Amino acid sequence: MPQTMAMWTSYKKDHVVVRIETAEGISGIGETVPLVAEFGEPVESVKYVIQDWLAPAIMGEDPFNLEAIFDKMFKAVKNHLFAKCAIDFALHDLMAKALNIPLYKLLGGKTGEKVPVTWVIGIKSLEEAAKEARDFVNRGFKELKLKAGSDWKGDLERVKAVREAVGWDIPLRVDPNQAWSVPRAINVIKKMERYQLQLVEQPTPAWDLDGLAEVARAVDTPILIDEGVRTPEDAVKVVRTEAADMINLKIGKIGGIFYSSKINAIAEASDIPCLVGSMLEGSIGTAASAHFAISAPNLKFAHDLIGPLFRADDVVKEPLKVEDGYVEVPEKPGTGVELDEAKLESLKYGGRWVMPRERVK
Amino acid sequence: MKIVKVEPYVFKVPLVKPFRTFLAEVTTKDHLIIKIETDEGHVGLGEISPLPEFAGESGATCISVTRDHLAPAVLGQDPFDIGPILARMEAAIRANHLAKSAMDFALHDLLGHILDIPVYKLLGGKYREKVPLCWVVSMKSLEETAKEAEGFAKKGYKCLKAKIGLDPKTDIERMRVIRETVGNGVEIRADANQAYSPDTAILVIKKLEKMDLDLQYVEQPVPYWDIDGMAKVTKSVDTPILADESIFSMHNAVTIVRRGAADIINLKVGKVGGLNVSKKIAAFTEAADIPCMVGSMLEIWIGTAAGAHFVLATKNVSYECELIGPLHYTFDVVKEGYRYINGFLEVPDKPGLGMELDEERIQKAVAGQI
Repeated sequence: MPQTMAMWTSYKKDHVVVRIETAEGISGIGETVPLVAEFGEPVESVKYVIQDWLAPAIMGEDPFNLEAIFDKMFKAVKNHLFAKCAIDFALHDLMAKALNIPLYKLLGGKTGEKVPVTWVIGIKSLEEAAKEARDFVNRGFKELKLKAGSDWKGDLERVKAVREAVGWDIPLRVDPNQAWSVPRAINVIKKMERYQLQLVEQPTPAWDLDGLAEVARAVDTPILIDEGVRTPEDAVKVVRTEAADMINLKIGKIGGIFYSSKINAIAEASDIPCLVGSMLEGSIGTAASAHFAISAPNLKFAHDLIGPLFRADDVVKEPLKVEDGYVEVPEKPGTGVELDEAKLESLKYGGRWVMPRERVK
Repeated sequence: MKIVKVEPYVFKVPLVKPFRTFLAEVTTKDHLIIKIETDEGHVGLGEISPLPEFAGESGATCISVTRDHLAPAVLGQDPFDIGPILARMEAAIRANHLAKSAMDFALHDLLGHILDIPVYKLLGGKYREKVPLCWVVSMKSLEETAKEAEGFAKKGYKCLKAKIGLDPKTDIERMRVIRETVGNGVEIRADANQAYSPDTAILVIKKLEKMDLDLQYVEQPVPYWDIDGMAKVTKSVDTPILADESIFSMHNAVTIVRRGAADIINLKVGKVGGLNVSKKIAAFTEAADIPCMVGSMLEIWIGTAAGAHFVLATKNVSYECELIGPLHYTFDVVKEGYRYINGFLEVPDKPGLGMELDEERIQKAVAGQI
């Protein structure tokens, strides 16, 4: 299913899968879905960075030594957080498997029984958007997110159409992915407020914290920062500048669960709630994210963990279930999803890791 | 798996020598031990040593808070749900961070035993091999100060702290004597325990700077509630300022960072509510470029061990730590502690905190027969 946002349309996604093994023969798997357009990491670089820089840096380490492992990875290569996320997911899967417990038990236990997810509606016609919204609410989704940013009048119309389609009880959020200028954001959000928005995500450019702070002060709707926070240091800047009311812990862009926990701690201490976003990862990355989402405190909203629903195929034996508006949190050791080697082989493009990409503006 | 038993014990343990600070002179200290048990027979131990003048909690408050408020929040819970259990304790009773810390330690010890791994593996793994230490010289005469400083420098301690806050002249004199005694190869730091006004603090610290005593930092120079005053001191002097009594929660740490009130934080794991909260404060301060030091409230072995595991696992603890409680006592309630070697505390790779309770000794302690 293609997905259109302010910046690009995706027809296919590139995935990187990493497997880490210990001397005892226990292995963990991780996955990342990098994005060239916003985050500047193509799969080729992820694969290269993992093979040539991160793997040598962590070889021989005890997988439980996350603080030391991340120190070594950051010393080996700056940035490249999607590559680090794949390693982080694999390490967490590995640790929990070594202890024979589901990952969430290693992360602090269950804060609730289920992980609610948001359905995300791409930029499309009013009729299509309204129909999709109705369909997914009927399928059990309790919160909806609308991608926006193509043209503001169209965005406003779509918010209206979706609100009318699903009624007033479904929380509705809008994500223009940095498309608006500060005055445009203030103006449009104020117009949208009559349709009762739960939050607006990253309305203005990622680098402009002061501008985002201006938007956050000007409108009543809470502002969720996404692309503007990739590191704990970014989160502290948000606290200092009061640039946003909430933080999107998109685990891939942050470099994994270990650093997402750090950002969540910063946010919790500062009374800033978080939610868990996604890069539309497949079952492996989504399962790791779901374990984090069920265990972390300070998460008050439905999460964007719907990647498996976009997949025509996956590389696991049993795809992770996303049903009735909730994502499954497996009770098996580790993340609870198992790599299907044959599937992985068949999906490797031309025997290489790199798949052809089609992107249109 | 469920937690089916919570047993708190309170007793007093005499110190080898009286320990004098601006806040109090102590000759004996209260200790709270919490023992928790699961339906499958796993045991977890926690300990804290309250000082009412410092934290507003005593042995008596700790045991009643544990019995009446914390135990009901913990009993019947799955020990793996440590996050939700801590949230239940927060909801059950506000503040009382010391009692909550003891429970948090017991929960971590329990998980370590269930999973058969040392607690530091639950906290981010082994970042450092052992705990570098700082010896703390309490308020005493110049001669005694010099003798103690010399003795501990010879034992291998690379860092010494002096308790100050009597009066500026005596304080400056004591720091001078310590520097002269140990030379430049040993770091020295001072802890005023809130004794000064901001203006006096600035005056004293600037004098110490002029004398080239090269203090590593000055700890909590002004009252705990005077965040603006501490920010003024921090901005006025070149010597780094460390916040201790101003921080009893992660939210306090945010305030310190927002107002630029300190350069370093004393992250006593037993005063902020335990290891879980301490990890959050370490995450925040690390990202704000504020390093931490792990101090102590003179705990015996169990409480000291919790701090040690945290130090091993946490990168942002980058100053010599004051986990020297057990050296102040000849009595403990565990069968075996860790080892102090050349100014370091060494942590064995045993499950949990690696401590085993000596039932006979704890009964004796509770009966007041130490």
